[in-house]
Amino acid sequence: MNTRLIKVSKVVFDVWFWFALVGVVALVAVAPFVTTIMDAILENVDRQVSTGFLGATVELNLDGLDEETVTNLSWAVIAMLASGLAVSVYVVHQIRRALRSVLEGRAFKMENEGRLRRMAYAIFSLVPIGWITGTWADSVVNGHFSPNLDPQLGAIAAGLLALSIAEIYKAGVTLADEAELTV
Amino acid sequence: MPIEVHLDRVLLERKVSLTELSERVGITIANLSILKTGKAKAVRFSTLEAICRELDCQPADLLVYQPKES
Repeated sequence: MNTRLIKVSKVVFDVWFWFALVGVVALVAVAPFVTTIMDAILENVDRQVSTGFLGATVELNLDGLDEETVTNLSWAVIAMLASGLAVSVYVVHQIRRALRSVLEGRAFKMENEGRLRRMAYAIFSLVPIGWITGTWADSVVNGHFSPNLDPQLGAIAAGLLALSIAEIYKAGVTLADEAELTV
Repeated sequence: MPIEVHLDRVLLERKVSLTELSERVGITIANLSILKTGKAKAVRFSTLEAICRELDCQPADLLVYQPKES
């Protein structure tokens, strides 16, 4: 196998893998918290939700809301945007490092890789547990089984699957690379 | 990488060329070059043994640990 091709594909996969990892971690960690706050604030507000493949769009009728509620809502949105921005900046920074490494012929190593990986796996392990528990609780309350399949959970499940595939491929490519460079 | 390979220095001291070493140890020039230029990810003990035998040196003459300054 061409060593250069292995190295380039490794970098591309590393970048994609970490983009998916950081993005999904941010979604799992931040979005439910912020959406809970928003739901509490908006419980008496007229809303229309339209869902698509990559997420949901919410239209709000804010007429009649008092100033304090609008302020709280604004801060919740700002928190979500700020976290998304922080994640984006981090991912872009890693992508730039990765591309620079490729151009200079150096191996790319993600910063804090071990710590991030362990944290992500710990959080990911809660997702299926939470989904199963929530579905069970919902079925007990409502008296029938109705799995929650909203787009956010679909995105998380897809992300987890992609991460698993990426991890397996990454391990395989690493083994091939090391085999070729063992003398 | 913190492990530096000083094969080129030992070859120079012993006045042995890479080609000659390759013939003596039975390893291709390409692989020896990978080792010499520090691109190797791993070295087999059999390779290390063969090189030390032919160049009459110790592994410590070939491999040096230089920790990175943080």
